[in-house]
Parts: sequence; structure tokens; C-alpha cells
Amino acid sequence: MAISKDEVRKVARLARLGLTEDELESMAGHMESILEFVAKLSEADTEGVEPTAHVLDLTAELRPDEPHLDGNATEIMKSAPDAGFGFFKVPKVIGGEEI
Amino acid sequence: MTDMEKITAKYDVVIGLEVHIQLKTKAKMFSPAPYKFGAEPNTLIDPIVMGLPGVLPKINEEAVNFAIKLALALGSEIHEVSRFARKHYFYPDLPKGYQITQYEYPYCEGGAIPVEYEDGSVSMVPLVRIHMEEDTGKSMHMEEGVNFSLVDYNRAGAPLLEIVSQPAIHSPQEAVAYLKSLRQVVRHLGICDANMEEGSLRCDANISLKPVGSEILGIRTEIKNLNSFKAVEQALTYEIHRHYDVLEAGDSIVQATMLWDPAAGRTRVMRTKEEAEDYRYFPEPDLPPLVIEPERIERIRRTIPELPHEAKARLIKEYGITRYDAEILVSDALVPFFEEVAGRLDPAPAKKAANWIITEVLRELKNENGSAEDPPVSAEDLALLIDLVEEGKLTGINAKKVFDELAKGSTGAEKTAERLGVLGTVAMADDELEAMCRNIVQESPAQVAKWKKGNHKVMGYFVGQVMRQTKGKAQAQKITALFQRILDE
Repeated sequence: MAISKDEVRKVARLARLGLTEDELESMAGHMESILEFVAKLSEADTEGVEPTAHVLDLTAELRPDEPHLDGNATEIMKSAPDAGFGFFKVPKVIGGEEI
Repeated sequence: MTDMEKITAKYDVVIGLEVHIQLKTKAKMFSPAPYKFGAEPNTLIDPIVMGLPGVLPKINEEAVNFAIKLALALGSEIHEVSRFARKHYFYPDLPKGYQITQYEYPYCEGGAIPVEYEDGSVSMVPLVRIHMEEDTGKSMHMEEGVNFSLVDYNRAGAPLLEIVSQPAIHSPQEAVAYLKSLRQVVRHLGICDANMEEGSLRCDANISLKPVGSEILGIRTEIKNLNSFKAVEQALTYEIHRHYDVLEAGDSIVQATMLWDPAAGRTRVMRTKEEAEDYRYFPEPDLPPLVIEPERIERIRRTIPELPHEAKARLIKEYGITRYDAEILVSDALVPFFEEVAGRLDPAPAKKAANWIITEVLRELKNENGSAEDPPVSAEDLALLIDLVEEGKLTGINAKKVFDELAKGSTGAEKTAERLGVLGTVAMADDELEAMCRNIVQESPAQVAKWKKGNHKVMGYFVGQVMRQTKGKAQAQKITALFQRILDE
């Protein structure tokens, strides 16, 4: 399966990864071989098999609606790269896009 | 012909709404942290909300119950097995870099919102689906020249239901009626405050135009940031005109997400289809499938009250009250209290109970910030009070005094009336009452002069004098008529 540099660029952008031209090139090769390896799976006959949503044969456990704060809010703020005025500080956002 | 009539003569307007309602559970969707609007920023967060390493989300049972409640009330089909997915995008108000939501396997599909119009008519707007998800935080954008934004994650993780309508709404007014009806339903079910200013009910709208009668839908735009009924109506009206102008000029609409700018009164392009997000959904590995057992559904089904439009129709028919009264009783969740009072009345008619409740009881509830489940006066006392007035044993004015005492904590309507010394309407002979009135007129030349000049407000003074002399036991209507006759002699 051929992967173009543009496809790698798109995936990198979605994941907010900055790749150089050289990296895009080599990444395209890596991704191609990964996809070829995984393509083996499509040889299996899955006719009538429910798509797997979870690897464990479990169903979700429900939790009673009891509020509890673990008191870590301040600690969490401290671990942020930047904070102030009781808020997390982030690079300026405009109209839905980061700049 | 107005602009809108000109447009609808040529095009069908097609609107679909996506409404998010915030469930009023005590804790968040996947974490025990509570959420409260207006709390100190970033105090209602924990490692699960923030998606720190090593944490596991766990589903809030009450949120699931509320979701089932809405699905049952709207006649949606509940799926026994549903799944959660991760929706990925990077935006500072999304702490984990993904939102846990339901994608391919929502917990329910179908159903309809009974949309009520002002004339009392009801039409059903079909739904595509309802799914569960978690809310995001809120970013605050600073003024020009500041190179950062501030984020409050308190709201992140609060439980949401997204209700997706079919594109079956045909005017901005219908869209507003849909939202108002939905708001009334979720409040009635007690699952959401549905307050648009506080963001507990939010709306995005899809809109397109197609030539009248055409089967093929036009290219649509989506409008976000509609946080009031006014914004919904104005933004849709604006967008309909914009689509019309583009189509009439022979151009085609560019599929895009728009933002409503209320200050400028126009929509702006937020992003076009080419820039559309690719959310890379995949099954949430931290949550196995959600199973909703039939027993749970049946248990909740028994708690579903009748829907607002059904309740109103029944109250009007059964109790002979007006649509206006029924509307208020239903909106303010006072139906059970009303029925309890009305059921006890003898000989007073039920509409007297409606009057008392929507004036006195409601005022008391609003002043005292009370809840309809805990009315200021018991149904028994209120019914007795209304009957005492009906039987002529208590005047309207004094009944209100007794009511106030009862609201302050006094018990027993009759006992309280007796204690206040107001029980028993003055059984004064008509000539005796007339003599009293003539006496007052004689002693009040200044007020009489005012009356003669046409100042009819002084009637209050005359009636007041009789009330004082009889301790409020006289019937205001009767005295007013008496005075009118004497003064106009």
C-alpha cells in the first residue's frame, strides 16, 4: 500500500507533529510497511462477526452519582506549563483555531 | 409580500437542530467531581477530568438513568448495547485531547419532540438520535494585544446528551418553538435546568434551501454559538436570506461551519468543508460496552410523568382552567400541587385553585427561592382557605392575610383566620352598611371633591375606610357598588 508524503503530512498535522521533508519521506516508508503488516488481518473471514469494541469480554460498570473532590485541583494546576488568575494559561486562541 | 414570503414561495427552508443539554447529576459523566455553574475556576477538577496518566473513566449511573428517561419520554428506541468512542481534536478547552462520546453506536435512535405552538397546536418533529457524551471546559479570550487565553476546566466532563433532530424544521420560528418545547420536556422530567444563558442548553443549527417541492436537499451550512432563543431566530433568518441571495445570483452555497456574531447581527465563516476537522474516532479503550438491561428501562418507565403538552390538554379538559393557567402550572412543575388542592375543594371550583397557585403560591416560591415540591402552604390549608372564601366566611383580602401567615409557618387555615380575628364576613344589614358609607362620605369632603373631578382612584380610600371599621370583613365588591351609587347621587 503506497503512502504519499501528503498523506503523512495530513496525519502529522492532525496529530500536531512537525516533520521535516526528510522525515516525511522516511515516515511514509515506515507507515507503508506497518500497513502492509496489518493488512494481513484483512485475509481473515469476518463474515457475520460483530465488530470488536473492546478486547475484554466485559460490560461497563456503573458508578453511583456521588460527588467527591479528591483535593488535587491545586496540584494539577501546578503541573501546568503556565497558569495565572486561577486559570490555565494557553497560547492565544482565536475563532476556533490555535495560532 | 415580506422578504421571507418571497423566499418561501420559491424555496423550502430545511433546518435540523443539534441540541446539547447538560444533565443535572451531582457528579460528572466519568468522574466523581461535581459541576456547578459559576464556581471558582478550576476548583471542580480531578485527574480523571484532566485525563492524567493512569486514570480510568467510570460511567455515572444517574446520567444513564436520565438519558433513558428522555429517550422513553420522546419515544426513542433504546439499544441494549451502546458504545463510547474517542473524538480527537486539539483545542485548549479539551483537556485530554479527545472527548468521550458515542459515535457509531449511540444508546438510542428515533423518537420525536412534541413541538407546541402558541395557539396550543402540537406537531411532532422526528429525531435522528440522542447520545451521551462529556462537556468541554471553557476558554476566555483576552483583549487584543494579550498573547494568551485563559481556560477553566470546571465544566469539562459534565454529562451531556446531544439530541439530533431530523432536517424537518421549516422556519426560524419553528426552530424556536422546538427548543422551547424541548426545554419544557427536560425540565418537566427533572433531568436538566435548560438555562441557555448558563449554557445548560446549547444549540447548533443546520440550514439549507431547496427549490419548492424538490426531493434533493440543498448544500447546508451549520451555525454554532446560538446561546439564546433570539440568537437562534436571528441567525437562522440571516442565513436563510444569505442562502437565498447566493442561490438567486446563480452561485452555489459553500458548505461551511458558521459562527453567529450577535453584536454585528451576522454569521461569519468559521471553517469550510476543506478545513473540516478529521476527528479520527475510535472505540474508547477505557470503557467496555454499556449494557442497558430491560429491567432498568422498565423501572425508569414507571417514573415518566405525562409530557407537558399532554398535561396541559388534560388540565384544561378535566378542570376547566384556561390554557394560560395550565401553561404556568406545567412550566413551574405545580401540576401535582394543583391537583391535590383542586381535589380537596368543595364547594369552590378548581379554577380558583389555579388562580391562587399562579398568583400567591408562585409569588411566594419566587420570593423565597422555594421549590414546587415543597410549597409554602399545604394543599389542605390552601383548599380550606379557598372554600372559606367561596362560602363567604372570609373576604378575599383577609384570605391573603391568612395565606401570608400560613406561608410564614402558621398551621391550620381556619385556626389562623380565627387568631387574626378575620373569620366570618360581616353580616351587616344592607342599610347599616349604607349608613356607614354615607357617614364616611360626609366626613371626607376632600376625597369627594376629587371623585367629582373624575379621579376614580379615591375609591380605594373609601373602601379602605370601611375595611378599617369592619376589620376587613366587608366584601369589597359590595362596598364599591354602594359608594359608586352614593357618590354619583
